[in-house]
Amino acid sequence: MRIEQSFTVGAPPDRVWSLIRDPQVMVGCVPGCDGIEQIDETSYTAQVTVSVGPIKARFNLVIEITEEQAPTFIRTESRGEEGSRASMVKSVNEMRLAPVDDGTEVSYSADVEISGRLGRYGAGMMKKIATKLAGKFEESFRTLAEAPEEVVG
Amino acid sequence: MTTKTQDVTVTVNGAARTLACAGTTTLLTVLRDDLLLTGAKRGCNQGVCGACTVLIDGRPMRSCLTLAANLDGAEVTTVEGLAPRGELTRVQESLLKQNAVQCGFCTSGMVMVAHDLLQRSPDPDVEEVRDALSGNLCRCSGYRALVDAVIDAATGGAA
Amino acid sequence: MMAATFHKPATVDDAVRVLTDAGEGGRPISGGATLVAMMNAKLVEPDVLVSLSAIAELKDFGRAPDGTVRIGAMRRHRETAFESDLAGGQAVVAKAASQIANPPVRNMGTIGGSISFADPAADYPPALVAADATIEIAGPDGRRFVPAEEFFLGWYETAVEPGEIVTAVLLPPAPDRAVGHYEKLCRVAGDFALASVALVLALDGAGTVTHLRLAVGGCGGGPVRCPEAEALVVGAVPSAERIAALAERLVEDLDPVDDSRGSAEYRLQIVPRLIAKAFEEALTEMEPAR
Ligand SMILES: Cc1cc2nc3c(=O)[nH]c(=O)nc-3n(C[C@H](O)[C@H](O)[C@H](O)COP(=O)(O)OP(=O)(O)OC[C@H]3O[C@@H](n4cnc5c(N)ncnc54)[C@H](O)[C@@H]3O)c2cc1C
Ligand code: FES
Ligand code: FES
Repeated sequence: MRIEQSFTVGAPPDRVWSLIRDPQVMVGCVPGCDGIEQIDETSYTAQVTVSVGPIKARFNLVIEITEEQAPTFIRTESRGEEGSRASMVKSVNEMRLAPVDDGTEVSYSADVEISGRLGRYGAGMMKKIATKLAGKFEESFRTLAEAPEEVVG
Repeated sequence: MTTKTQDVTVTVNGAARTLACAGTTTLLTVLRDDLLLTGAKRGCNQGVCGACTVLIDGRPMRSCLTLAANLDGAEVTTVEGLAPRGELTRVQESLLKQNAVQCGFCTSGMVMVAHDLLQRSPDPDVEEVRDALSGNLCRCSGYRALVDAVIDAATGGAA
Repeated sequence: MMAATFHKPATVDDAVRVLTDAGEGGRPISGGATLVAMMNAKLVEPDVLVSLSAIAELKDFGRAPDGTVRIGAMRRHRETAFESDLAGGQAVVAKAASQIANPPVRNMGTIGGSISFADPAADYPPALVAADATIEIAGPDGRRFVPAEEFFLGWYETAVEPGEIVTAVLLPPAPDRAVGHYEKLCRVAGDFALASVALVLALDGAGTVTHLRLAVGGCGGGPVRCPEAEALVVGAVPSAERIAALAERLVEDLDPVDDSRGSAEYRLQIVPRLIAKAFEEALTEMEPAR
C-alpha cells in the first residue's frame, strides 16, 4: 500500500531538516513511538506500537537511511517484527522538503507492506488508518516546528 | 477470583457439572474436549457459521464465542440434550424426512435454532424460518430442504 | 492458548478498579461476540478479562420522566430490537439493532460492546448519531458523558480511555411525531453493512421538515453526519430534488474503503439511493398520522 501526503510547516527548510534528523524529535512526533536508538551513521532501531481497536501491535523496527541530500531529500527503509508473533512490517519512505513562501512544504510517500495481525484488516482499511496516523504526525510535527525555537529541546 | 483457572458450575443438559477452566477457554472447547459432547461442531471458531450453536439459558448462542468462565450458574442445552437417548425431536424427524441432512456438519446447529424458533413461535411462516436459520451456514447448500423441514415439523407434516 | 485471569465484578466501580490495575493487558468483555472471536484468532491475548455480565446496573433499560431513555451497556441486541418503549424518533435505534447479524449473535452482542469496538460498518453508530444519543462512560474519576457525534473518533477509535467502560447509552426524547428509520444494504442477510443510513425526521402539519438528523454508516471511520446537507431540507417540503441535493452534499464528506464487500466507488453510488429510500420509508410511516 502506498501513502502520499504533503503539508506545509511555517519554518524554513534548514530548521525542518534538523528536526527531522533529530531522533528525539521523531520519538515525540511519530504516533505510538516510544524510543529510537542510533546504531551507526545511517541506521537506527525504534519501537513503535500501532493500535487498531483492541489490537496493539508493538514493532521493533530497524531503520536504514539509504539516501540523503540535506536539506531536501531523505529516503529510508524500515522493517520490523512484532516480538515472537508472525506480524511483519516493511516500508520504503521518501521525504522531500521544498521552500515555499510561508515556510517549507514537506511531501512524503511510504510504500508499506504489512502482514500478520494487522494485515487482517485489509489494505483498504490499513491505508485509512495509516493516513490517520500520518495526520497525527503532521499535527505534532507542525506544532513543534512552528514553536519559538528556544522552547524546543 | 484471581487464579488462572476458574471453577464454574454449569448445568449441561440437565446435569450440574463443575469445570475448571482457564479464562480464555470457550464453551465449545469444554463441551467437545472435556464433556465429550461433540454434537456442537467447530466450523469457523469465529461466530460466522453457526455449527457450534447451543442454547444458553434458553437462547441459541455461539458456544465458540462464549467463555466458559463466564457461565457460572448458567444452563446449557446441546443437541444431545433435546431428546432422550435413542429418540428424536420433531425437528430432527422432519430433517430426516425432508432429506435436509447431507454431510451433517451444520445439522446440530440448525436443530438448535429451529428448536428455539418452534418453542417461541409454534406456527412460523417461511420468512420467520429463514430469519431463524439465517445465521447458520450449510455448505452442502440444503437450505430449501432445511426450511421445508422446519415448516414440516411445525405443522406436524400437514403442510 | 495463553491463560488469562478472569474477573466478574458485581459493580461498575469494581470493574473500573480491576481494569485500571490491569493496565495495558486488561480488557472488558460484554457479549464476547467480537472479543472472543479475536482471541480465537490470536489477534488479541488479554492478560486480564473483566466480565461485565454480573453488573446489574448495566442490564437495565429505563425512561426518565423527561422522556430520556437509558439503555444499559449490557443490553443485548435482541432486547433493544424488541424494546417496545423505543418509539417515534428513538425507534431508529431499535431498527438498527434488529438488523445486526443474525438471531444467535443478537442474543449475545451488547450495545456497549458494539459501540466500544466501533466497527466502521456497525449498525448502532449511525443510529445513535441520528438519535442524538449521549454515551455514559465510567472511569476512575467517576462518570462522564460524551455526545455520540464526539464518541466515534474513526477507524475503531472511540472516546473511551484505558481503564474506562461504557455504562449506558442515553437517548433524548425526539420531537413529537418524529419517525426514525434505518436503511442498511448488505450483500447477504446478517452481514455488516456496505453502507447504511439512519435518520430521525419530523414534519409539521403543512408537511415542512421541522427536524432532521441523518447519519451514514460504513462510509468512513465513523458515522458521517453533515448538518450543512440537512439544512438543504429542513424548513422545506422534503421533495425528491431537495433530498437528492442533500445526498449530493453529504457524499462529499464520505471516506469509504475498498474492501472485500465492495469498492469505495460503489459505496458512494449507493448512498444517495439509500438516503432516498430512508426518506421514502420514513414518510410512508408518517402517513397515517398526517
Ligand atoms: C457473525 C457476526 C456477524 C456480525 N454482524 C454484525 C452486523 O451486521 N452489524 C453490527 O453492528 N455488528 C455485527 N457483529 C458484531 C456484533 O454486534 C458484536 O456483538 C458487537 O460488535 C460486540 O459486542 P459484544 O457485546 O459482543 O462485545 P465484546 O466482544 O464483548 O467486546 C468488543 C470490544 O469492546 C470492548 N468492550 C466491551 N464492552 C465494553 C464496555 N462496556 N465498555 C468499554 N469497552 C467494552 C471489549 O474489550 C472488546 O474490545 C457481528 C458479529 C458476528 C460474530
Ligand atoms: S464454530 Fe462457532 S460459529 Fe462457526
Ligand atoms: S449438510 Fe453439509 S453443511 Fe449442511
